[in-house]
Amino acid sequence: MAEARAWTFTDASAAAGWARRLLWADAALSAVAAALALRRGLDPWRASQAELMLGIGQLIVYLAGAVIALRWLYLANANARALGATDLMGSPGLAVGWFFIPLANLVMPYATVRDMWRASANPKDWQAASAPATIILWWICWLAAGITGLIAFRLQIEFAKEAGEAMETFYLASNLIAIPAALLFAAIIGRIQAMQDHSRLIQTLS
Amino acid sequence: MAVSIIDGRLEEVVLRRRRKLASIYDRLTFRLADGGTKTWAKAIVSNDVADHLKPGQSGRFYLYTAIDHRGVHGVRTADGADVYGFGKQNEIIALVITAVTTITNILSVTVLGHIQILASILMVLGLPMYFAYRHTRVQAERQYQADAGFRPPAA
Repeated sequence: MAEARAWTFTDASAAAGWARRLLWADAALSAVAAALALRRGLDPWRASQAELMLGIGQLIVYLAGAVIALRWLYLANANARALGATDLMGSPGLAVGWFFIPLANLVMPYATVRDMWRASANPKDWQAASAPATIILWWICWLAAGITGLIAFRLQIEFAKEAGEAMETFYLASNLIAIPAALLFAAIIGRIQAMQDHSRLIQTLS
Repeated sequence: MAVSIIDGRLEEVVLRRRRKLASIYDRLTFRLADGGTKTWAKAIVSNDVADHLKPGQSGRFYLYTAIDHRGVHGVRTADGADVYGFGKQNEIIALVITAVTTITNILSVTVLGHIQILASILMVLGLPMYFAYRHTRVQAERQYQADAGFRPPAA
């Protein structure tokens, strides 16, 4: 069975390394933000200038991490195909694109990462491989952090500081859930990258 | 890749459930000519084709992938079976979603003066889904017909 397009392996270790560092930084900043919010008793009127700067820093790190992680996702998906995984869903471009398609982005990024894990573990017969529970756990945390963050943001936009403690509680929940989400995704990236590097090495030696 | 071919022998057939029109398999495991295996997990197969998917069956198996669905749409076996079948259920569902959400939006604009966000999202998703499923079905038909003269050697 031949794949319609020949894929070439591209070294994605640099992108994986940077994505993991930025995800660790994101987890650390979320932890600090949660700690500061708890320290002032979730009172939005007592938020300091430092917390505002921290929020901006969080946004920058999050966006940089998202860009690099999506770049890595594209490369790793193409590399799984280059290692011999046929019949993977869609294309590397679609693997990234699922994150931006409404409703589909609730499920399909999870399915893509799950299949990439299986394809990296056993490229020649990836559907026989299993994926760990870490992936579904990451995705639940990722969605929960996003949803709570979105609720907090809407409360802030609609009611400003009048939403008070409710808004702060949602921001706190979002920050707390974002910590395992970022750490789990960093671990998943590291493991998939290691499996692909290992398969690549075996292919090169043989 | 939307359609592909496996020449080999079915080693393992794990049926999850059989319905009126199609069977759903947890996995089908094929032994390939080079000695390796190929697993086709969560496969949806029309019952005409499913009747020929038995452990030990040798031949050529025609496979498809459409978005997150996969299945077997044809089989030509060493003992002379030549069967094709492709379920249209997902294609029809996508078309119905597109039609219903389009009508909902037209009514909403006419009566309420604004569009429905959820209906709009489903409308935008339903149309490419319909074309993706239809494209795969057309490809599958062409692939199977183009291979009409093939007869697998006796096992």
